[in-house]
Amino acid sequence: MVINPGRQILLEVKNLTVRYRQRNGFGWREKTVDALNDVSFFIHRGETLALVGETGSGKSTIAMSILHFVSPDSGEILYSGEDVWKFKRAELRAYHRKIQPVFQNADESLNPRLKVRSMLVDALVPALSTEEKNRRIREYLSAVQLDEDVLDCFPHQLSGGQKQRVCIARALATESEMLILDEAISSQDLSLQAHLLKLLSELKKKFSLTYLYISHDLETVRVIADRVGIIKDGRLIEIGEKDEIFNSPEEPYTQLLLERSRF
Amino acid sequence: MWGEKTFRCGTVLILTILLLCVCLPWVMPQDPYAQNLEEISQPPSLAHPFGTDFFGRDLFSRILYGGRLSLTIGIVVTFFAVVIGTIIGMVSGYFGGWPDAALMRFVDVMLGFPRLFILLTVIGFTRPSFGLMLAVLSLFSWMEVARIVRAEVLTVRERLYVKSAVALGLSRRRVLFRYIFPNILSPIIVSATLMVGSVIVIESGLSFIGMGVQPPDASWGTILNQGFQDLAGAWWITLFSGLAIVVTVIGFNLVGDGLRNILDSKTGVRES
Repeated sequence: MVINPGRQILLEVKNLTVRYRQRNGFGWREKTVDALNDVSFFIHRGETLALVGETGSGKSTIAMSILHFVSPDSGEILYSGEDVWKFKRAELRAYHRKIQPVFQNADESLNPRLKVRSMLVDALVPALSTEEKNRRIREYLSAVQLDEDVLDCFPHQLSGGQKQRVCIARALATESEMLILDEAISSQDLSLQAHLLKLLSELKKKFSLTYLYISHDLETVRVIADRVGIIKDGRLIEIGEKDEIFNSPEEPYTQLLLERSRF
Repeated sequence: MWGEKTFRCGTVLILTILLLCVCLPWVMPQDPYAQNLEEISQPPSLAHPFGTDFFGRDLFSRILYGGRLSLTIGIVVTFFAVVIGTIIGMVSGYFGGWPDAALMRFVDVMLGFPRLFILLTVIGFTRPSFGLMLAVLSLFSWMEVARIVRAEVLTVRERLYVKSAVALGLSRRRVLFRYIFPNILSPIIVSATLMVGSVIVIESGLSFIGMGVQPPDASWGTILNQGFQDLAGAWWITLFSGLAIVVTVIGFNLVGDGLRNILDSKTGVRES
């Protein structure tokens, strides 16, 4: 693993270990399950790192830990060199705005009782004037190729693709630096996936974003990623440039994944 | 919403009763306190549709006036109980940890007291009054709401839209009131509607045993008590005041059940 000296590291995960505790029916004996075991990687500013693994491999736990929702048992998560798990409340709120999640299930990610306009307003910097807010909302909507008609809709009035675009627009509206795309396009149909992938690439350039792209689907990873990490049973077993991983994988598990994805 | 049969029946019942209680006392010619000793214990007739009581007062007017009191108590107590319960449940569910543990043990303690006996004790040591009854009933009715709200908050706060809201850097108050509260409203509304009925029953019970509303003020419980003194001779007093209680409580329960059906099927969160 060579760190490119010319590029700034935006996010670094060091020896991250997360254990989930399970109790038996009486709450007596505790069993621990290692969700993540000593995972380390970094992301350069402006890069797309894809984490690939099967369901249950722990890739979403990484996202949740970076987002400050699941606390690590050991290890560090450094954002621009600062440990995010040592942030105070105000720092944490500022950090949250810089790093935005887009989840697989857009339905679940949008408050069913709020209109799209209110959701986007919530994401904007509160100090802006109403005019400026409206201008920015229009800008972000056009960036994700949505009409302004959706502003007065509730989530249930939108299609799946529209909802996912609203999620992306909301993630942009906080003036974020990094998006965590946790299976963000996996639940869409193939043509829409292609469309969203193209959109994500455009947005990355336009807003100079960094992506952590989490997926089980190697085909989309091939399109979007710069570097790829393979997760298996809570361990990061291989990480490298996309071409290295796709053309000459070292780990047998990676080879297996690649073989399966050719169908 | 109107298509739900239970809800429709309940709403019609409640609206009718509310309308009668609120508007009719102004239209009705009889004063509910006016005694007419020439018309003591008259059975129902055209002049007195529900008959008259032992003092010759028109029972129809008295039941309508009593309804105002009973309904006011039911609605006001429910309002306060729901407000207290919602605040405690939300704090408990959202913040977790020791505030949650402390508040929930407090709820357990409050539930440990049999409500009726507490009411009787408090009222027994003081002079029964309308305000006291409101206060005591409100203070001992919020626990169920608190538990429901806490449970709902615990589920809703794990939803991705709440996590997304936290990730937007919103304040905890904003997350709580804009993202969590609107999504737990339906169970609150349902339990509030059901509570109105049960509070009316408790109020009637207290007034019936003389610990609630005091004569000559009328509430359904006091009228019921009065009728009880000569059940065989003046059956209409007990019958009509009892019916008023039953119909109102059934009305509120129907609306509550109907609302539950409607809200559940719409959000699709819970099984209907």
